[in-house]
Amino acid sequence: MRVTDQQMFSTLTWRINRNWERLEKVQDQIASGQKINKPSDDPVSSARTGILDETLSRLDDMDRTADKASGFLEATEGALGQVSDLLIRARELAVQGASDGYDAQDRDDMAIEVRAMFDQLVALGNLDVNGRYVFAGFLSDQPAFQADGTYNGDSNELELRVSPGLQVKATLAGGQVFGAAGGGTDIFAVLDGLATALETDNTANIQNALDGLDTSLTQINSARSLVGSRLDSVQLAKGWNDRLRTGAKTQRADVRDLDLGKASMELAMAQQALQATLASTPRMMAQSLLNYL
Amino acid sequence: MMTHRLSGDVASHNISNATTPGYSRQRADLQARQPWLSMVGPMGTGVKAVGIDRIQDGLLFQRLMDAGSDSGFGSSKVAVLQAAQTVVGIGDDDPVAASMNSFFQAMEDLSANPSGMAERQQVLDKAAQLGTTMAQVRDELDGIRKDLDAQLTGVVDEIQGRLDEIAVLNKEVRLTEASGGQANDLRDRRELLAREVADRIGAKIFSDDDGNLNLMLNAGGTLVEGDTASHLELQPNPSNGGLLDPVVVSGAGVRTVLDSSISGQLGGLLSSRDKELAKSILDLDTLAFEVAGQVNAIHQTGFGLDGVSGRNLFSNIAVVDGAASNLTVDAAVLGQPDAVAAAQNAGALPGDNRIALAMAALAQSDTMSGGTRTFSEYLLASESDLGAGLQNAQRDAQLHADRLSQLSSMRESVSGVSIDEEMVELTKAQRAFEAAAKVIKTGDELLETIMGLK
Repeated sequence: MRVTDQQMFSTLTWRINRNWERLEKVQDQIASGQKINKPSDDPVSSARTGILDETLSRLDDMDRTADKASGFLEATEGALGQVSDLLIRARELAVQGASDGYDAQDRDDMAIEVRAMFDQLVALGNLDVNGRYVFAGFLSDQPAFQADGTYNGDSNELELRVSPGLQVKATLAGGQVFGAAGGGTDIFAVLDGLATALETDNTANIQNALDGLDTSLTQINSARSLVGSRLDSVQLAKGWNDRLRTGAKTQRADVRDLDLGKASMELAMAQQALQATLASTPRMMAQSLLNYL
Repeated sequence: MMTHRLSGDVASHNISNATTPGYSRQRADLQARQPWLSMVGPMGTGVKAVGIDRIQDGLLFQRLMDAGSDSGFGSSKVAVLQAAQTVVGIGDDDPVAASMNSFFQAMEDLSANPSGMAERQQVLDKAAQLGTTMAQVRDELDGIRKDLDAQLTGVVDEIQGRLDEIAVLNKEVRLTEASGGQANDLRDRRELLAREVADRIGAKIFSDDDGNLNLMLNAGGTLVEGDTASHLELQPNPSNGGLLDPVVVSGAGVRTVLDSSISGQLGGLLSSRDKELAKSILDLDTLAFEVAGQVNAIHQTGFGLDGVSGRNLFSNIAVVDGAASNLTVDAAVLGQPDAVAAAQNAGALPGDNRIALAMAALAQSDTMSGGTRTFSEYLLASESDLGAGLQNAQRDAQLHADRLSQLSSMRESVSGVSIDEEMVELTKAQRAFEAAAKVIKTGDELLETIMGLK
């Protein structure tokens, strides 16, 4: 084949350009630490990366709502714990009040303590987390209970999404927990009854209140275990989110991230090829019959 | 002597044109003169130059034109789609995906605190931001399409100039060759122009016996016929938003409207404008239309803090076309965080979060592409399509550029000037010239000897 001067020059420039191009691409990847810098580098993987990015940001959202859900549930749990302590104390008072070892004055003192408990119970029922009255159902902008124990809320429970596709109820409706709305015992009425019985020295009614306190305690304890199991669900969901996150990150790394060792090798090779081309080019160009004529 | 002088001249012409684009090397065509019949048989009468040949391979030429137009198609497409890809972005730099994410995130936050003014305000802000971002991206993509009109005008002008020159050269070649000989340099220039036309629009070459170079579009339609060059113009296409389409008007007045199926740079520009870019914009419009429609459908059933139902969150969008530019927060809720409907039941205000929860769930529901993709999957698939279009164009451009350089190399191998070879040729002519001079000198000496006989 004839090799002409223009042909040689254009081939030489083409080779140099090609080597530069290769070097630049590797350099670009190393600089960003990613194999894919533009959708056109690999359209399928770049869409995959985008979806994984979205999954990861979604999981962060879920974690934040999960934190809010556990915030509500832990506050509820704490309040119910105090209610339970309060009922145990009321039960002690009732047992003492029912025995003959105490006189009317003692019972009046006990009644005063029980009345104070009643107010504490109202305060606990009006628990407020970040401006939301958690026991008030959806009517969460006003206190759940009036001072006389009347329930202001409704029977709804706030549901939150804590993991993709998983919703957990984050509140309890106060009407069911403290009142008789769910077919249970009205704890306010029990305490009120106990106080009245103590004030009137009516031992039979004190005895009745004692039974009422027992069912109240059971009611509170079952509410506490419900809250506990919901908290467990939230924790499980967070764990599940973590697993999903790790999975998504691993996948994204596989698809997108650069194998630095491989890239460095590629860089060294591209560099070497470019150097060799550059070094040989002037020698090629120097060849001419004109040198000898 | 004169003949060998001519060989030398041709070689030096070649050397001086060693770097002229499109130049084909030339050779003096030498032949032995007609012998005369001597008593002992035919007797040679020396040498004569019968012409100057242009050395080239005719078959290679059409292939070079085709490779040129394919490569022009690919590279002009790459340039346009690269600009589009920069607008669309990837991963964290993807503005539409990011703002859509934050909108649904704000919705999720609202579901955790449906009575919160800050959360409600966030939903409105993020909804407005989603609209602005989509409109911006759409505007920029549309801007790239509109800017192509200016590029089309430039390319069409370049083609027109070359067609006109080819027509003039056709005439000159005919006139020159009518008086005998070959118009080598004019032909070279004409073929170079034809290749440049092919790079831009894709053309087939037809030479006729008169020495004319005629050009046709690949799909049919005359570009140059003899002395007549067709006229190229651009006409607005009302069904494509008034964007310009090139039209070829032949000498006989036949109009051929060109579309994205043509080759060359012009084809690349039209194809990226009317295929990839048009699709990206349509996808964005569809997404905006669906987001607005589906969010509104749920929002309308819900109640704001003021207990009012039936309001849209986004303004109603009637048609898909242009939807991405029209995604705005509805006037009924604009600036009124109270009006955002998070509650399903008017009696359960303000703690009811069920509508907010349902709207947030849209982000993960397969509602697009016939119920197979979520909003963001749809967006990413569309962006991936654009990326694939660019990747194909890059591959094509690379492939055809390699093919073109290989063919050019083949052409150079046949028609290109090798300075070494021309130096040899020059030396050869010089030697022959010297030898011829020697012959004359010897003849002269012979004659002198005869003249000296007394």
